[in-house]
Amino acid sequence: MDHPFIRNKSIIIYSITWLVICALFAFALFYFYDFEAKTAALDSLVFNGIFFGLGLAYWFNVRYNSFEKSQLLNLVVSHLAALVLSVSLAIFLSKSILTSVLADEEHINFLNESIPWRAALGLMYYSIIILVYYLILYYDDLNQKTNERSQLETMLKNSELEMLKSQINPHFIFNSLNSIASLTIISPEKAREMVIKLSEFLRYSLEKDNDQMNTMEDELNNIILYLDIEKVRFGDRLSVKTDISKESLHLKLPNLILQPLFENAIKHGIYESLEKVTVSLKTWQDQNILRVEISNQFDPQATGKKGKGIGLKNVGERLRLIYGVPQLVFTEKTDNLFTVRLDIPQIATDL
Amino acid sequence: MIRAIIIDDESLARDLIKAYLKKFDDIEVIAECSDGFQGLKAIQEHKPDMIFLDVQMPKITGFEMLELLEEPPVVIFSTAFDQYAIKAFELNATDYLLKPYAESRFSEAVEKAKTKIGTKGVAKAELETLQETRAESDESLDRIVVKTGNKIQILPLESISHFEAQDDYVAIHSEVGKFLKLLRMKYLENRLPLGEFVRIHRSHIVNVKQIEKLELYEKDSYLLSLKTGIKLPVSRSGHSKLKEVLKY
Repeated sequence: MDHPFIRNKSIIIYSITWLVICALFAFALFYFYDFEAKTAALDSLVFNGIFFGLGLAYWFNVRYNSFEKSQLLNLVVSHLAALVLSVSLAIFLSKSILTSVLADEEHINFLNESIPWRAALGLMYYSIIILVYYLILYYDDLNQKTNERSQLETMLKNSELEMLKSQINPHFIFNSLNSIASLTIISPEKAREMVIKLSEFLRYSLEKDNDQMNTMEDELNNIILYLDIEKVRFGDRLSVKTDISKESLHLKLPNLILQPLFENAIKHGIYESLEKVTVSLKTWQDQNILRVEISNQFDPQATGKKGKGIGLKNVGERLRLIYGVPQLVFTEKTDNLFTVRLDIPQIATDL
Repeated sequence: MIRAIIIDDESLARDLIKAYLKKFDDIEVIAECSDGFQGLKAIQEHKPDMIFLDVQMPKITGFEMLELLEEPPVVIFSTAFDQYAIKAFELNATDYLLKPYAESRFSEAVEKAKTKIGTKGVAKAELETLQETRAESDESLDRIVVKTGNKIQILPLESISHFEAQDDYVAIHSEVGKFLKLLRMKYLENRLPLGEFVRIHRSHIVNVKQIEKLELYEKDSYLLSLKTGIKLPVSRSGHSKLKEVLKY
């Protein structure tokens, strides 16, 4: 994150504030302590000038000690240390500079006497600046959260159509219908069976809202329908292996989140291969995470049309926005096996 | 007897064609293939009069398979959903079947195809114009299929350093060697992905990622060096295209 007083010309506001403080300080010395205008101005300029610089530096103490990240004790210690060090530095430095520049006995005495209230002023400066920084951090954070929220909302809306397009791909639908047309001649019963499966699959995919959470069991049933239909199309070429732990059946995951991954597995596995391809699904519970692993064999020699990776990217993006965790999709590619794993946190979400 | 081959990767789709063909006493299915490689082999071996060809198949597509044939038979295309292919078919009035199709529609296509059999060169001319139309569609190539002897090689675009025009052919210079293919430079120029390949000269198209350096060689004329060590001349219009792509 960039420095809040430097971005967007806010350095101007920061500088003007300090100029006002500097003027008030000089005026007080001139008016209440009867110093010459020049001495008062110089004292004010040096003392406040140092705090001008320190004020900018305080940001780093705030930046690396935000409330969520550090313990309260660390926070207090770090701020106390910064306060004591910086205020002592400011007093010592301003005293040495002013002594050497002005060499006015009366003023040197005053410098020594004024140490306590200069320290008090330093404490005040420190507190105010730190407070402003924390307010800015809080405000930025709030802004970011609102942004993410609205981004999620627009994405859900935009993706509704897009999702349907990517989840139920027209190629799949029309080829399945063609298989049914063929089955009506060869085996009407199988044709009926397939029409029913296709209808169930379409109903499940069309009726659910995109932001809905479903149980693994429901999602699994739908995936099985999809794979059954593909098996009718591809016959022996497709074999499916599942390893589902019993606990994982009741865990929740976003609606149809697995569908694009299975479509990928079919596309890169079956569409581009002449050999038999196994697609496997494994799900298990790991503390409060549902882990889902999908893998497919592929022909390493196939220089097939490369996917643009949109399916996988969409799944990652959707999970990131729902759970607020950046990395929930993991992929691994070996010689002839592609594996993708999703980690679905099991926390109550208000989505 | 008309001899036909069915090429489709789904067995049920092939079964449907066979079932519809039962009505035609004069058509005999001599082979069935489930991918483009097998299809190519069967066509060269049996020299059929007519083929039923699915567009999307494993390994190589129906179109890519046709590109490798010197004397293609009459083709009846079928596809489930491929907006680019369909657009090309429509622009050329090529007969094609959209899966799933009705028996009457199928018969119509077969009757029409039958009229083309025996008229030498008709099928070939039709396929050539189809290929040219596809060049104008917005789908870009991502690989090129070539044949050397009996071996089919699929060249991903990344492996190709440059294309060189040689009369009616194009020499494809790739990591795995040089291949000749009957192609037009215009076709390549239109279908190669924008920004990744540049036509620097009437007879050269280069892979942008393979460019090593561009040097001024005489007043107004440039010489381009590729990472493979080859130097190629750059024409004036080629230079302005390069400028646009490389943004300098």
